[in-house]
Amino acid sequence: MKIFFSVILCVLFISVFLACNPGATRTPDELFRAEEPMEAPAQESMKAPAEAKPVQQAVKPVKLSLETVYFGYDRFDLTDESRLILAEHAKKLKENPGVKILIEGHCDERGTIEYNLALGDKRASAVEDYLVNYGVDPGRISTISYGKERPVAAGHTEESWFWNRRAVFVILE
Amino acid sequence: MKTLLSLKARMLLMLGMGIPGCSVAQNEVYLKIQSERFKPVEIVVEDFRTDEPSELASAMRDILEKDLEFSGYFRAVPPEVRGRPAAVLLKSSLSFRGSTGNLRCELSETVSKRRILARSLQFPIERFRLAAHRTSDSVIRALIGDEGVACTKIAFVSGGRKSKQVKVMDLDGHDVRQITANDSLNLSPAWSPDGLLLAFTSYALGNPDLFFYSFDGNRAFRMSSSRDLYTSPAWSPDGKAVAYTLTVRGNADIYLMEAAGKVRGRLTNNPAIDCAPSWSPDGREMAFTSDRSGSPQIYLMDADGGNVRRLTFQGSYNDSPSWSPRGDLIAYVSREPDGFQIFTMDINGENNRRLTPGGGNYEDPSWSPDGMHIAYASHSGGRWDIYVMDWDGSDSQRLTSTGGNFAPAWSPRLPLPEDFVER
Repeated sequence: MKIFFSVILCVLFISVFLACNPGATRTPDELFRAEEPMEAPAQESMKAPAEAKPVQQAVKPVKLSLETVYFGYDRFDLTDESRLILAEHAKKLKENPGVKILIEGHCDERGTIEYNLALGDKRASAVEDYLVNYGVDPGRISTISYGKERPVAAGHTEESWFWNRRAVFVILE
Repeated sequence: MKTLLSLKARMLLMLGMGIPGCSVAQNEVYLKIQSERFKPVEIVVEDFRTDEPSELASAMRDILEKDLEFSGYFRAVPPEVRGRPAAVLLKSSLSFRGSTGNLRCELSETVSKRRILARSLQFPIERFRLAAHRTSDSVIRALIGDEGVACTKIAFVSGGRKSKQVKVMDLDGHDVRQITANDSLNLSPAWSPDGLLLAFTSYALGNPDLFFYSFDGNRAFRMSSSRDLYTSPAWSPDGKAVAYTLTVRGNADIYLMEAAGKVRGRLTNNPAIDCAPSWSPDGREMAFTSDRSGSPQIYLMDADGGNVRRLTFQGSYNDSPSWSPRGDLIAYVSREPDGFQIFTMDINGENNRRLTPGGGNYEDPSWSPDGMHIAYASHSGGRWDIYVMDWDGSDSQRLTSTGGNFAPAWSPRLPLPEDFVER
């Protein structure tokens, strides 16, 4: 399992590297299947909305699910892969006009609490801006930053850090 | 008016001309700062005399001795060291009346027998730890002229991924008290200069809001109104205002609010992240973190937001500035090849000195009110705990051992409770 994960991650990093070269071929839809080995923590992150919005009832089982997007170290700009994913998200959101979402911005454990809270907010806002530019009503989107306080991957390695630098989508209604 | 000790002078504590010959003018402190060689005063802390054999007496004696050693001014020794007497002798007696204890202390030179301090302290027995801490501060004041910090506390954040709570503990790690009790994240505690309030960030209402907790009445008040991100509160030294970081749509800037909550203005206005303000002790300037240059670096500005200048140029990540109460140093965190480490620098950005030894990350430096110690969080022990060290990085000690402890904030000197009587 671990080797499988490592291989996937290597492919992912190589792909990201290639993506930096104009004209290089990339298969963004493949890239983020690597999330699957992270099943357990990914489920955990879905519990977040209940904590974030204690006044709300438990979130109903959701048909719509929006894939998490990831960021570079100390970066909040969207990668080309993220842009493609977000364009799909925008399409789905426009097809489901009743749905409201919360975008959670998260960071890896490196750096200080305060700086990472601000950075997480920048990530969430960058995603929000992109969706709004693609025609999603800003009234349907709210954002929150958890900085480095709520990692999905507990390790202290590049792998863990990668999975923790993310914007997570929580379907509110 | 006490003059500020220079950076060098922090290390220069030494006995006068040797205790026996030391003449002391009435209003002068007993010990002089004279030489570059640091030499703690040797003190004998005698066993407490007490009417009835008491575990309390030996517990208090041990607390007192530990406090004196922690101060850096003293070394506790047995009555004779290699045939030579220790410099000073502290005799104490403890008596009880009902639920009240009475601790009488007498500090004297061992050779001349001259009395330096005689004091009695009445205290509720259940608060014996504070009574011992107070006695340490009295000894330090009498001998050094400085106010000790044994009666201060450290606020910190404790918890895991799901919830983190603000707690307060004594300087020796005892008497941990939980301040927040909700199922959410509570972060960034900051003391008001009078020690009566703690400002902090809480997600308890679903948004990272700014709260003030009042120790008088044990209640928390939400001070922010918008659903934006409020972090890193920092009280002005006069207690009249709080600087804080407000992040609106991804743009973090530093703002100022009056202690009563009215927003007074915006201090930075830059699309980059500006956060983590720390006031100069005279209240005229603030250090803060900004990534306007492309990476987080430490800057100074005047308290009205003007005259911004960059302080750090070494390293790709400098954050968490904390201005020493003595005014001469700024502690901060810098990313090194072996992790995040705590540094100090002069307030012109020079003389960057690394204080921490590596083997893990070190974060969130917070000064003691006398500027002699720094509290910090580190996971050098395999998990995150709160530590204290001397201002120059020496003598680190761990205060917590549960793991999951972050963001220490050292309190100001706290007033003696009303049920204590000092004579």
